[in-house]
Amino acid sequence: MSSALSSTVEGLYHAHHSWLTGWLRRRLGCPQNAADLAQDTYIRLLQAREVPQLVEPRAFLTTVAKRVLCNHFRRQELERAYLEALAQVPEEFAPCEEQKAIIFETLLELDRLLDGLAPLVKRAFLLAQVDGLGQGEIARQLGISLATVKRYLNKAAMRCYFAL
Amino acid sequence: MNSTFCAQVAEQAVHWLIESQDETFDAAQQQALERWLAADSEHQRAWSHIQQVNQRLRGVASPVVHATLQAPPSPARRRALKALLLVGMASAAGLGLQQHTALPGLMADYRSPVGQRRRMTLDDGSELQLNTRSAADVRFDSQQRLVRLFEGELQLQVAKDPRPLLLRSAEGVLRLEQGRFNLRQFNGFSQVSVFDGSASVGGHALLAGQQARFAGSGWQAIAPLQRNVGAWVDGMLVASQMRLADFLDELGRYRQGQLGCSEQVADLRISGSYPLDDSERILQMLEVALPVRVRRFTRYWVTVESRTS
Repeated sequence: MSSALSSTVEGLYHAHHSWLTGWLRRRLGCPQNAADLAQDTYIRLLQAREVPQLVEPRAFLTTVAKRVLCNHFRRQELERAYLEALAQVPEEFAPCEEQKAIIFETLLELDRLLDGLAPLVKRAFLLAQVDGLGQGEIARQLGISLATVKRYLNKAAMRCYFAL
Repeated sequence: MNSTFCAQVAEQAVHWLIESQDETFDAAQQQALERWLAADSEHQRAWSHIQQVNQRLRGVASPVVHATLQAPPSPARRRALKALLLVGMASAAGLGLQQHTALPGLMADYRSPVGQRRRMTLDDGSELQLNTRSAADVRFDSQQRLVRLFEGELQLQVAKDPRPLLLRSAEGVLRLEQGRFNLRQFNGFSQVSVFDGSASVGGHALLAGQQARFAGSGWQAIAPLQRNVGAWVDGMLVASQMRLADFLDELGRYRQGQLGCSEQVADLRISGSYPLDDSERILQMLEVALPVRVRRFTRYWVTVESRTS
């Protein structure tokens, strides 16, 4: 991280922190979460390679904060689905708290990595790598050719394994 | 761990992953893959990175995803639903969450992951044990007791009860009397072994001390019970003059990844009792017992070959 970036973010923080927290609170209805997400927004800025020349810093901050907010809602949504699924597991097979957290992190990460891929591409990938289905079987289930299955798997694999 | 790779290596690794999962992947291609792995340590690193990610992905599906599903009519449909649900959990965009919430409630769904065995007592006092990578449903009502094996292998000690106990595999339904039974689902048929009691299909009984294939219409290849059947319950793999290739296939059921051997050593014979919980040690013992060496490309890619080659 360059020191120029760091000082820009620091400047943004001092000048707009309470405004940003207010902006987030209006959208969340929860002061606690708003404070957390404001922090996330600045952390995201610090992780960026460079902050563009800021003519309208608040417009820029909202753009980043919207992304953070979106991830937050997505996480909540996944968490709800995950907890529902967990509630159905017979007690003796329920993962321990630590495993639950690990599985959830994996799901989040997978969700993030596969985000933006066409639904069929995702499905082909999950059927192959999570369920261990053969490529012929995937082609049958999805009603596509074997060559297409391979192309989909290739595309999703580059994302999932190498973030490329 | 450093998980950055150059794009070219990543592309090649993904290419090999997908080719190796193709059903037509043959010995020549495997050799080509092995050459690729041996050519550069970066290749091995990329390959093992993929395997590690896959390990995590497989961990997601089981047991959470499986347990949420009602048993659909066929294993294939079941798998499809399971995948849908996972998509639901992993990606709500478009596909998933509606599918997930639309699924009906809890079915008893027991699953054991690769390399693990599970034992549970059912409501009627019967005892169900699942071998590695196995899945079964249990549904008891006032009329009948139904146990359904979706994949893998189970052993059932059936308790006395006025309701009949029906055991279902992909091929059909067996009726079990009080006793002890082993059922293994193969691709296209299932294998039933009777330790005590009797199992019947269409009025034809298979008796204690017998085993047979079951293909829906009736029994095939009825034979005396083999000593190695059911040894898994005690955590053992028992071989008696078993071909090495078959032995490795069996052992491979208990491990993640690829386990195979070269053609030169496939027909070597092996006997003995081996503890399943330490398959790495079994592989080490092979090198002592037979003129073979074990080559590990990664933890998940193991090939047994002739010591002289």
